[in-house]
Amino acid sequence: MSTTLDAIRACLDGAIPAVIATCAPDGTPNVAYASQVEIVDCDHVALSFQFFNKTHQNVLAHPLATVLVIHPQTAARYRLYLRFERTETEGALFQRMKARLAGIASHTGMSGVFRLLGADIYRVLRIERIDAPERRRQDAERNLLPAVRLLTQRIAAATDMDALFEQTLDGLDRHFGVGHAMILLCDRARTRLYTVASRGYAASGVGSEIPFGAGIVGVVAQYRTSIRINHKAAEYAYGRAVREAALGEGAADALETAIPFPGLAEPGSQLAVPVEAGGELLGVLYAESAQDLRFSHDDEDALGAVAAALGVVVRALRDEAESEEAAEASAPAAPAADVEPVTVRRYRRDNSIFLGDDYLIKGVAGAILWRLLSGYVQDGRVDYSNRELRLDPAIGLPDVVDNLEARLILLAKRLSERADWLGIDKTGRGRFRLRVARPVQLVEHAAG
Amino acid sequence: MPPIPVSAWLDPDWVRFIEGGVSITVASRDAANVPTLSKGYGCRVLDGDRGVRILVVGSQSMELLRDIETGGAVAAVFAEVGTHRALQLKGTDARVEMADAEDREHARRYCEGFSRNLVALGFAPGLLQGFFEYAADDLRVVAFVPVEAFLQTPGPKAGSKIGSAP
Repeated sequence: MSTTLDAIRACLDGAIPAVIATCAPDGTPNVAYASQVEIVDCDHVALSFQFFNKTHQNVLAHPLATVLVIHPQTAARYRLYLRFERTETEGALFQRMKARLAGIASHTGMSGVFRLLGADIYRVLRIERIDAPERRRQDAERNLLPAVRLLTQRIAAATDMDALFEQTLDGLDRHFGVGHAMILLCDRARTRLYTVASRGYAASGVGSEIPFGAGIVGVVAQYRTSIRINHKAAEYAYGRAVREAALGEGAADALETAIPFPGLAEPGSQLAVPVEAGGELLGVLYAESAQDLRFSHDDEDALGAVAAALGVVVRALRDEAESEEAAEASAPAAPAADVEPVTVRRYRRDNSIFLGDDYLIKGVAGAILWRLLSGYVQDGRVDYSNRELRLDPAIGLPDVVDNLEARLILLAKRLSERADWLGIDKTGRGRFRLRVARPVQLVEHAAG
Repeated sequence: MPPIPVSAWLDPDWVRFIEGGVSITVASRDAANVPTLSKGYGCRVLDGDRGVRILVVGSQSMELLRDIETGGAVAAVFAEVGTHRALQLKGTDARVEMADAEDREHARRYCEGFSRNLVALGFAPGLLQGFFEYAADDLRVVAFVPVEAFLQTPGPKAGSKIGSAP
């Protein structure tokens, strides 16, 4: 049986750089290091093209190249006989390689030197194993299939979205040993993502936002491709990404920057995979670690499988929440009369909400809360359905497929973090109740 | 015209560099210009016009040795792991020789030095063990007189010629 690319992918993780030999038309060989060899499909690889060097020049004239790779644990060596096909300078593969290269560059002190000009695509003609002696297999090698099975089972069993997110993050921690992770969902109308759940951070960061195209998470959403970075990559860190995006944006639809993104300041490894279902991008599942080289090809596949299960269940629960079940009627508990009222302010321009002097949230979640509090102050109303909020013009949901259920989870979490007297509780499928334990005074500001 | 010794035109710092504990890869090509390559296990720079001797493990380098014997074209890259500092030598008169006692001793010291560098960089013990296992009688020499040297350290000057036989 001939060796397949999948069988040697540990060799392509960059722990030991690959070497590429090419030949000029006059027969002069050339040998050079390749920063990155990326698997494209079962019979293609892509090499990073960073400088207009001899390798690139040679394959344009004479397309045959041979790459030597070494297994990082066993030292098994393989030669890949390749034929150059084309160079890609944009698209998902290019972005994936650009992000990985940024990590490689910063790890090796080559930031500002390594810059991806293109992804050179080669067909794999033949893979040859060089040294015959059978090496010991590494007992320590992890098998991720049991973890994938356990976690996808927990995901499939979730009956509401809040539990779904908790199960997913808890499972990543327990079954995969991924202690820092978050789930972000799409606000497609405003081409950004908002954090709906996280695990492993001092502050949850629920409600923080990141625009499409910014940072690893934003690039994953924009190109709908998974990205794995094995070393620190400042270019893909959240802080810089958001600063740059915020600078290039008008004030009216400004990013949520008051709630900080929960990520590690300098992750050594990052892995982000798109969460999709039915051809629709729903969000991004993101994992990170302080350690370098934490995530392998296998981790990327495993997280991809988890994200696929997550996507299907997110979509099902979102759609289900739109079909309300009968309301269970109950009288709201009246707030104690002898308690000082809280002033809740809304700034109409961006729907930002302040509880007393404390900022809570803005945007769609802010508009929802204002609508609920207005109903409460005017009519004493506390019970609502998702559907009526969806149809309410005062809230102005971005589009029909927006994930209202997830917005309510975000709002409920943000409230539980910031106020002990105000909350949102789920009361049934597509139904929830506002919980108010203090008298409320609403003040609206038209400007600012 | 007799070959020009590498010491006459290559900076002594680079001579020390290619003789030290750096990663070495040797490449050639066949009659149809299909390239091939293999790892080096040390490089000796000899006095006068005798050129360089790069050690390879024969059983891992069958195509390379065949191509060198038939064509003589050779390229070898030397890279310091961890810094990316790198140099490529090219030659046209390469031939294959058996390793003599001095070559074998050089390969042994090379493996020690290179593995020390790799350990310092945190490479796995299994890798080191696997990489440096070879039978001493399996060593072969790719001997040639370099005619050109190119800087291979990544950056704007990568690929520039830093010396050639006059």
